[in-house]
Amino acid sequence: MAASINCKHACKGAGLLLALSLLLAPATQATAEVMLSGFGTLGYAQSNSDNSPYLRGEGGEGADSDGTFKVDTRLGIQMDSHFNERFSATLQGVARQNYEGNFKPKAQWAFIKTQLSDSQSLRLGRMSDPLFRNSQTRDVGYVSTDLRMPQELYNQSNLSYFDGLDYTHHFALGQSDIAARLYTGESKSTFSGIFVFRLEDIAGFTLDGQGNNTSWRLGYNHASISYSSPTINAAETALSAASGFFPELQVYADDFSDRKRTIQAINLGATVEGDAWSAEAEWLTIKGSGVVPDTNAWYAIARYQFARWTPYAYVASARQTSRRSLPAPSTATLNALIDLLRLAYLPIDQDTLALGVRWDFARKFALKAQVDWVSRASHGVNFARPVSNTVNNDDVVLASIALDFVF
Amino acid sequence: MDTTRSPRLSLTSALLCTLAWCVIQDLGKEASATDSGNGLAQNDIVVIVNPENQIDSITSRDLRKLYLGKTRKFSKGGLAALATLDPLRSRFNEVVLRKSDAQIDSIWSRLQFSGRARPPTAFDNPQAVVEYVENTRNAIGFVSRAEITSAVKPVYVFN
Repeated sequence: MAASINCKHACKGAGLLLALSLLLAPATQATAEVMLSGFGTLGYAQSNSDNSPYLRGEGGEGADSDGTFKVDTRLGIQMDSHFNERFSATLQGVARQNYEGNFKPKAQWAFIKTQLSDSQSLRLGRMSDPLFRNSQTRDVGYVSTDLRMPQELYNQSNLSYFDGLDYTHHFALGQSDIAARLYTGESKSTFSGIFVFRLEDIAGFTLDGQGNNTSWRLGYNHASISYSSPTINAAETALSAASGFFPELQVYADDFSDRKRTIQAINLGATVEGDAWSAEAEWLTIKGSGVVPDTNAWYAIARYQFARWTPYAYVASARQTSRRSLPAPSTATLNALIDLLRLAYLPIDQDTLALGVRWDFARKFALKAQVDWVSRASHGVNFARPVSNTVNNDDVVLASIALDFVF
Repeated sequence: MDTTRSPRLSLTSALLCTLAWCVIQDLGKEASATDSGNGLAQNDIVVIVNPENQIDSITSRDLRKLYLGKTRKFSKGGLAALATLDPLRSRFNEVVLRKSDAQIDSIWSRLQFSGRARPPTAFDNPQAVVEYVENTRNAIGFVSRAEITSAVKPVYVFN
């Protein structure tokens, strides 16, 4: 509860400070150094399946056999204002497809940063999702070798950003440089227009270590989750009413209630680099609650650079470790309800083998091509949810090409 | 094999073959570019800092840590203000940082767009680098030996 109160005050404080800093920016223009930069991807993806489109992020239009530019294309603009050595502000807006299928820009980062000392800093405002090792640059295609980060992990959360504060302390440990980060805040995210998740009391830490040729990451995240939407509320009402006749449905009605639940995530990642090659692996486990299942997900990627060409391959896997066993069918009414419940509890298991190549053909431009072979149970991690109880679990081949740039 | 999958696999195969051909073509170009690059590597390049900086020399390891964004601090304190010189950038990246220009651009884009650090200030003429280091207490940059003046302190040399 204390964390909740602190967070709310901090978030409001951060917003106020941010507004103040922006208002003051013109007044201090004589000393503020303003830098504009940006990034973008023009991407096209096509799959061999029309059963359920391949999605990324919130959803919207997915890739099927007709192909689409909407899955991977995005554009971001960033403004950094450096007021002095200790004080700066960053604003970043990103346009990418949302669940409504349009590219309405959103503020992804909007924070002020205070360098408390040479090794300590504090940021207040809106910051990118810290759940995964590379989630803070998940929209910046240019910084990663692969065309899109493995969705088995990176589509497990559509949190995207949170409003709050973080504190980072840099220190050396033997030959390694460590960045220890503590953060707290709250967030709201919408998924496919069906679920609206609200995360409050977000608290967590990350430890990022860098040696000469290795780097690693350990992260822990804890949050209170609640979800609501007309669909979820109607499901709860119907299930509560039905549980009067079928008491075995009470547990499912409870899953759909809008009370707060606790979720936790642990994340581990490591990279080893040679002169021309590198290998990276990451693992994530989520302890869910209600309709958010428990999952384990991981990927491993290997890259080899020949001059300006970098071929790569990765394998990725997601497994749902919690399963709801549904009541045995007994009456026609109960069967109909169980059929609906089965849709809500479809497992999210998914595996991908991807092969691709990155070509750095000009400064600050990269062209990538990637082929994914995906096998899944039902809609897997990032395929469109089926609208009927017909389960589409065919293997899918996805071919993608993308032009990434930064400026 | 169903009939809908075959055309996709053909498309994929065609794409991969085209890319394989591009790789072979480009590798030839790259080899000759590297040869001519080595021919130019005659003059020493000197890493310079402001005279007020506590350090008198810097190791290649510490230089890598600063220019790869692993740390912002000088070993004897102070937050570094990094400068790069475009004409010498590729040699500095290759010899000191042991990375390609594209890898360095990617590393700094990651730091910049995740709000962690600002990239080095890029200059296109050596006098501007010397002037910047002379006037900025925690600045560090690199120029060819012929360009340094008594107003800056040399701390590392390579060629």
